[in-house]
Amino acid sequence: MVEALVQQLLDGLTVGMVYALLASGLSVIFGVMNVINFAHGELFGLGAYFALAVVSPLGGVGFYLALLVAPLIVGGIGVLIERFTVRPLYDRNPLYHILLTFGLVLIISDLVILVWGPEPTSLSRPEFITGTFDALGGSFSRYAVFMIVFGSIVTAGVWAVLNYTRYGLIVRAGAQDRRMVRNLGIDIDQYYSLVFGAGAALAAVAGIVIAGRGQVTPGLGSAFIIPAFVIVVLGGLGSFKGAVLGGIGVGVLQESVIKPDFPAIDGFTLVPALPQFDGMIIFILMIGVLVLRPRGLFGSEFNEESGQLLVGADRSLLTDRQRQFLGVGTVGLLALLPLASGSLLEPSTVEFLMIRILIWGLFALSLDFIMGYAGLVSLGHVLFWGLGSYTAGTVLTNATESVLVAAAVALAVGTAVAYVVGYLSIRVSGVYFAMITLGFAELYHNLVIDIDGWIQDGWLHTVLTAVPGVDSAMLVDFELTGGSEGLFGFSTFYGVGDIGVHLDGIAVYLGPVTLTDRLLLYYIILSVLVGSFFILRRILNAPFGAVLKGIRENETRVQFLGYDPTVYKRRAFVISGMFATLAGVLSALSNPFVSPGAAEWLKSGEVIIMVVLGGLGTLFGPLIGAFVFFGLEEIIQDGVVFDSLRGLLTLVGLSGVADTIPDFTRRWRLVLGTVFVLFVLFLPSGLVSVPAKLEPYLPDRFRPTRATPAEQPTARGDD
Amino acid sequence: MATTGDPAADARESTAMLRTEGLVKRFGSFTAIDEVSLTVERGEFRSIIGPNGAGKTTLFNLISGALDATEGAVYFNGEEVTDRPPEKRIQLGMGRSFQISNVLDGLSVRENVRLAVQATRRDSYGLLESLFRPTDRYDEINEAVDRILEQVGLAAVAEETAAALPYGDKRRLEIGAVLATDPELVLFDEPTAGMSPEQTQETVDLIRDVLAEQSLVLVEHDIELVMELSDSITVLNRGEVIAEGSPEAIANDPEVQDAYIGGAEL
Amino acid sequence: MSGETGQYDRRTVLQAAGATGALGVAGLAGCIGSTDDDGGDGGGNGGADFDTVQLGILEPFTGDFAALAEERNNGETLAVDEINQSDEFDFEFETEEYDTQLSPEDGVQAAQSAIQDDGAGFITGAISSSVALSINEVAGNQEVVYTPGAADVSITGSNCNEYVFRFETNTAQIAEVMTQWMVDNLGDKIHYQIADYAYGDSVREEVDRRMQNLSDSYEEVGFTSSAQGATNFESVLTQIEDNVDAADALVVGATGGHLIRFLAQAAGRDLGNQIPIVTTTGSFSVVRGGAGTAGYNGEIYSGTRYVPGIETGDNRAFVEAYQNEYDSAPDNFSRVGYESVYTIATGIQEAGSRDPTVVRETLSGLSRETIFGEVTFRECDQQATNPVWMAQNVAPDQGEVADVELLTKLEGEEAIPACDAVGCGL
Repeated sequence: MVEALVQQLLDGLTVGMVYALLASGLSVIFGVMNVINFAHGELFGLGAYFALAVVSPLGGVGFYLALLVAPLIVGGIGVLIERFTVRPLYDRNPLYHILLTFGLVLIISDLVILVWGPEPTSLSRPEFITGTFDALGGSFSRYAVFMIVFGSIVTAGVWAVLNYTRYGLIVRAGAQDRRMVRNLGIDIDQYYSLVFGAGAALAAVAGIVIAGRGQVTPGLGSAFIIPAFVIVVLGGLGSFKGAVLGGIGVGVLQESVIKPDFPAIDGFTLVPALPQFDGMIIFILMIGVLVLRPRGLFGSEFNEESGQLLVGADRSLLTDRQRQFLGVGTVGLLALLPLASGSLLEPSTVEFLMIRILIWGLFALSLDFIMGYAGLVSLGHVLFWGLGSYTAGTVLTNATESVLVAAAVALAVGTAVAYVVGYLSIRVSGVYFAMITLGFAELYHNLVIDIDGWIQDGWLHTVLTAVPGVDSAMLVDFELTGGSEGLFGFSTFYGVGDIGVHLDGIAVYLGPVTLTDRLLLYYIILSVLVGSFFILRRILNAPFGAVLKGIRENETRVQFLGYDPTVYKRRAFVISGMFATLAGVLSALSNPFVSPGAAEWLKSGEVIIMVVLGGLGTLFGPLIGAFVFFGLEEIIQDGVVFDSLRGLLTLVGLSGVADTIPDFTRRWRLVLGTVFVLFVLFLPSGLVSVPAKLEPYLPDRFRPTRATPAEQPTARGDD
Repeated sequence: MATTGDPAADARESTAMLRTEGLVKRFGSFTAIDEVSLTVERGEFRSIIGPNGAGKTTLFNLISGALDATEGAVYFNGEEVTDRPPEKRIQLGMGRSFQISNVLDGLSVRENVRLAVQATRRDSYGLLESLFRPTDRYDEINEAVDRILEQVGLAAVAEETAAALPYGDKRRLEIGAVLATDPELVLFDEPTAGMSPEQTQETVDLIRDVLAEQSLVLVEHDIELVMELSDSITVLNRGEVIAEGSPEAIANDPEVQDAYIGGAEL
Repeated sequence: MSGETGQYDRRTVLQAAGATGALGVAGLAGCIGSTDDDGGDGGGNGGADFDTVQLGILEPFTGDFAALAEERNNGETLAVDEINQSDEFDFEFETEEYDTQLSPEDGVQAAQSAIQDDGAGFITGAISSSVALSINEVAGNQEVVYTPGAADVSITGSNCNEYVFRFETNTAQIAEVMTQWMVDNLGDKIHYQIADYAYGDSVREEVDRRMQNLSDSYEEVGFTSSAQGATNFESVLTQIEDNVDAADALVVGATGGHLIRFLAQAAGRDLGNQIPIVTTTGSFSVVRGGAGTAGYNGEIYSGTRYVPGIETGDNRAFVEAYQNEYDSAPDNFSRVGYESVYTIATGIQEAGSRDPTVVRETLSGLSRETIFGEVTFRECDQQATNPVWMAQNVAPDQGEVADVELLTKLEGEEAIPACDAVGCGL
C-alpha cells in the first residue's frame, strides 16, 4: 500500500516538476512584461530538440551536457525573440502578444520540422538514471527520482537568485508592480531580455527532462502550454512561488489524487466518479480559485497595467455616404458571387471557402463586440461556437431535421450558458478574464468528448438509470455528442413541420445560372451575417452601445458617470455569446457534421487573430480579418509564394540558391506565422488602418475635407 | 457602522450634504487616512488643502467609492453609502472630477456629455429601447446635451474627438460631464492643475457659473484660489484633519501655519 | 468547368423569373424547382477525354501526423509515377495535393476543392479517423470514389458508404490475428492498458469480444488506462507489475506518441521481460523509431498490418522501387498510399470509364493482385481482405531501431469479420 502510494506521488511530482519549471518562467514573464507568451511551449520543445542535437553524437552521457547547453541556446533564442519582436510591443494590450506569439508558434514549429524532420525520435539517457531501484518494498524509476531532484535543484536555484540577488529583487518587485519599480528610478525595461531569456531556458530544461522519459516530437510543447497557463493563473500572475506550488499541486492532483487507482486512505474515500473528470479538474480548479480569489492564490492586489488597445479607426477617410456606398457595394458583390461560381470562380471558392469566411466573419464580429467595444479579451469564445455546433448537431441527429428548431434550441442554450459564464467571468479582469473564459471552453471541450461515455457507462449512467422508466439499454446507444469522433451525417430541413425545403432538393434558376444546395446555403448564411451586422450596429448606436464604447475608453470614468460597468459587460458578453453560437450553428449546417475540433481552444486563438488582423473596434474590421486570414491560408498553401520566389531567384541567375529552397508549400504555416509577426509589428491597428496610414502620401483631393487637428494620431498609442 | 448613538444628533446631521465619520484607510501598515470626520452642508463650498501626500485624493477616493474604507462611514444626503459602489453614489447625486484629465478620449465631445446625461435618465427607457433605439432619437437627452455644451462653451467643437481638444477645453468638458450627471455635490480634484493663470480664472468662473447651486468640495494647491472661493476649509496633514474653519480662521491658525504653510506664504 | 453545366438537365424546374427579386426567399416562388435524387454526378465525368484522370491527394501535411502523411504521400507518388509510365493503364493520373491539416473542417474543404475546383472524381488520403469519416460523407454525397487511410472500424462499418474503398487494414482485422495468436501462444489472462480515446477503446472492445469467443477461460485480470496525451506511466506500470504473475499478456491499445511514451517508460522498468507486451501498432516504423531501444526491450509483440520484408504478391518489386526512389524502406502508410492509388487505377481500367459511379460498381467485389497477393474489396463493406501478421520487435543488427520479425500470418478471409457483423448496410 505504501509502495503504491509513493508511486502515485512520484507520478504526480514528476509531472508537477515539469509544470513548475514551465509555469514559473511563464509567470515571471507574465508579471514583469505583461506578455501572454503562447510560444513558451515551443521553446519547451526546442529545448528537447537542441538536447537531441547534443546527445545524438555523444550518446547517453551527452545528456548531462545537454542539460546545460540546450537551455543556454534556447535562452539565447529567448533573448533574441524579446529584443526583436516583443520589445516593440510593450505598453500595448496583451492581445497583441497573443497574435505575435501565435505567429512565433507557427514559425518555430515549422522550423523544427524543417531542421529535424517530422518523425518522433528518442533521447537516450545515461545508464545511471535508467531503470529502477528498490526501496520501501517496491521498485521505483530512477529517472522519475532524477526528474524530481534535478527539477527541485533548478527551482531552488532560481528561487535563490530571485530572493538573494539585487537582480532578483528588482525582477520580483517588477513582477508585483512594474509602476512602483519605475517610480523608484529603476529602468525595469533593461531586465526584460534577461527575464525572457531565463524563462525560455527554464522551459527548455522542462522540455529536456520530459523528452528524456518519452520522445522528442514536433508537437511536444503544445500538450503542456495550456496546463502551464492555467497554473500561472492559479498561482497568480508574476508569482514565482504561486507557479511552483501551483505546478506541483496540479501535477499531484492530476496524476496522483484523481486517478481511479488512487489508494483509498482509511476513512477517506474520494468521490468514485472523480476520475471520470480527469482532464477537467485543472480547469474546474482554476475557475473555482478565480471566482473566490480574482487574482489567483498568490497574486498581488495591485492593478495591472492593461496597456493600450489600439482600436481600428475612429476617423475614416471616407464620408458616411461613401462608407454606406462601399458597404452596399460589398454586400452586392457578395450576393453576386454565386452567380459566377463555376465560371469565373472555382465552385469550391463560393461553396466552401466563402461560406467558411462568412461564418468566421460572424464569429469574429461577435468577438469584436466584447473585445473591441467592451475591452474584454476572451480566449474562450470557441465555447459558443462549440455550443452552437453541438446543440444544433444533437438536435438534428436525435430530435428533428428542422434547422429552425435546432437553431432556436442552440441559441437558447448558448444564451443561458453565456449568462452563467459571463456572471462568473466578468468579475475578474484582464488576463484573468482571458484565462477563466479559456477554462470554461476547455471544460466544454472535455465535456463533449466525455459525455457520451458518462451516459453509456459512467456516472451519468448511474444517475439516469435511477430515474424511473429509464433502463440502461436505452442509454447504451445514445449519441449526444458522438464522443471523440463527433456526429456525422445529419440532414437539414429548412422549415418547421411540413413547411420548408431540403436545400439539396431544390434549385433556383436565374437565366443561365442555376443555384442549388450550397449556393442557396451561401445566401442564407450571407443574410444571417448581414442581419447580424445590422443588429450589432444598431445596438452600438443605441444607449447601451454608447456605454460600451465609453467603457472601452475608460472604465473608471464611466463608473463615475453613474454606470455599473459590470452589468454592461455582462450583457455585452451574453449578446456576443448569442452571435457566436449562431456562427457555430451555421458551421454545423454547412458541414454537416460536428467533431470535438468545434470546441478546441485553437479556434479562440484564430478568431482573435482575425479580429486583430482586420482591426479591433470596427464592425467591418473582423469581416475583413476573416477574409484575409483564410485568403492568406489559401494563397500560401497554393505555393504561389515559394514558386515565385524560386522563379525570381532563377531569373536573377541564382538558380543554385533557388534549388536549395526546400519544398516549403507544406510548411505554409511558417509563412503565415511570419506574416502575423510582421503584421503585429508594423500594422498594429489592423487592416482598416491602412487607408489612414497612407493618408499623408495621398494627393490633396483624396484627403478628407474635415479639418484635422495636426497632432492627432489615428490610433492612439500608435506613434 | 458607527453612528453618534444620539438620535437627535443623527437627525440633525442627516440634513448635511456629506458627512464622514471616523474614516480610516490603511495600505498595509501605512495609514493614509486617519479618523477623518467632516461635514459638508448643503450649498457649501468646502476646500481641502494640505501638503503633498496628506491624503487628499485618497479621501476623495473614499468618499466617492473608488477605494473601500478600512474603518468609518460615509453618509451622503442622509443615507449611508459606505459600502456602495461608485456608480450608486453617483446615481444618488455625487459628482466627481479627476485630478488627471479623465474624459473619454476616443469619443466626441458631444458623446462625452451625452453619456453623462444618459446616465441620469437611465430609468426612463426600457432594456429593448436601450439596446436598439439609436441615441439620436432621444430628444430630451439631446436637448439637455446641447444646453450643457452651450453652458461650458464647447458647442462649437461638439463633434471633435475629445482627444483633439486643447488642455483647457478638456477640463471644461470634464466639468460639463460632471454637470451633466446632475449632481447635488461635486468633488473637484485639482481642476486647475497645470493651467495658466488665465485658464485658471476661466475655469473658476465656469465652476462658479454652472455649479452655483451645488455643494462643492475642492482639493486644490492654489491657496489664493482656495481663499477666494471657499466658504470653509479643511486642512489635512498626514491623513489627519488638523484644522477646519473659515478662510480667515485657517489663515490665522498657528497650527496650520506651523504644520503646513510655515507662515511664510501668507 | 464547362462539363458542369449539364448537371441539372434532368431536373424538373419552373421557369426563372427576373433575377432581381429572386434572391429573397419570398421572391423565389416562381423559380424554385425540385431536383431529382440522382443529381450531382460528381466532378470529372464531363468533357475531357479518358486519357487523363484527376486524382485528389488529401493528407495531413501539417500538424501531428505530418510524418505519416509524408510516408503515405511517398507511396502515392510512386504509384502514380508507375501507372503513368505503364502501358497496362490506358490513362494517366493528374494529381493535386491538398492539406487536410488535423481538422475535419479543413479535410472537407480540401476534398471539396479537389472535387469541385479541380474536377477530381477520385480522392485518396487521410490518416486520422475523424478526418477520414468526414471525407467519407463528402465522397458519398458528391459521388466520388474515395480510398481512405485510418484504421477505425466504422469507416467500412457503421459509417460506410458505397463510394468508399479501404485498403488500410482495420482494427478488427488486427484484433483477429492478435487474439488467435495470444490464445495459442501466451494464454488467455489479459491485462489491458488503454489510451483513453476512440482508438484505445476500440482495441479493447475488438480484442475483448474475440477473446470471449475464442476461449471459455478468458479473463480480464487487470485494466488500466491513461489519457490520450499522458506523459506519465509510472503508476500504471506499477499496477501492471502487480499483475504480471496473474496475467499472460499485456494488451496495449494505443498508437503514435502515446505508445512511444508508454514503451519508453515500460523499458525503464524492464516490463517486457516480466510480461509479454502485445501492441496493435508497435511494428510501425514511426513507433520503433520514436521508441529507440525501448522498442525491443523484452518481449514486445505487435499485430502487424505490413512490414517491408513480407514475401507476398508483388511486394518485393514495390519495396525495391520504393527503396530506389526514397532511399529508405516503405512502411505501412506508404503501402496503403501506394495500393490505394492502384486500387483506383485498376477500377478505372477494368471499368473502362472514368465515371466514379461506374468505377465504384466495378470495384465493389473486385479482386486484384496486390503486394499482399490477391485481395478483394468485399461487396458488403468494401473493406480489403488484407492478410495480417503477428510480429515481434527484435534487437537490430545495428543502430537502435528495432527490427520486426514475423511470427505468424493470418489469411485475409479469416481475419476479416463476417459481413453481418460489420454494421455496414451495403
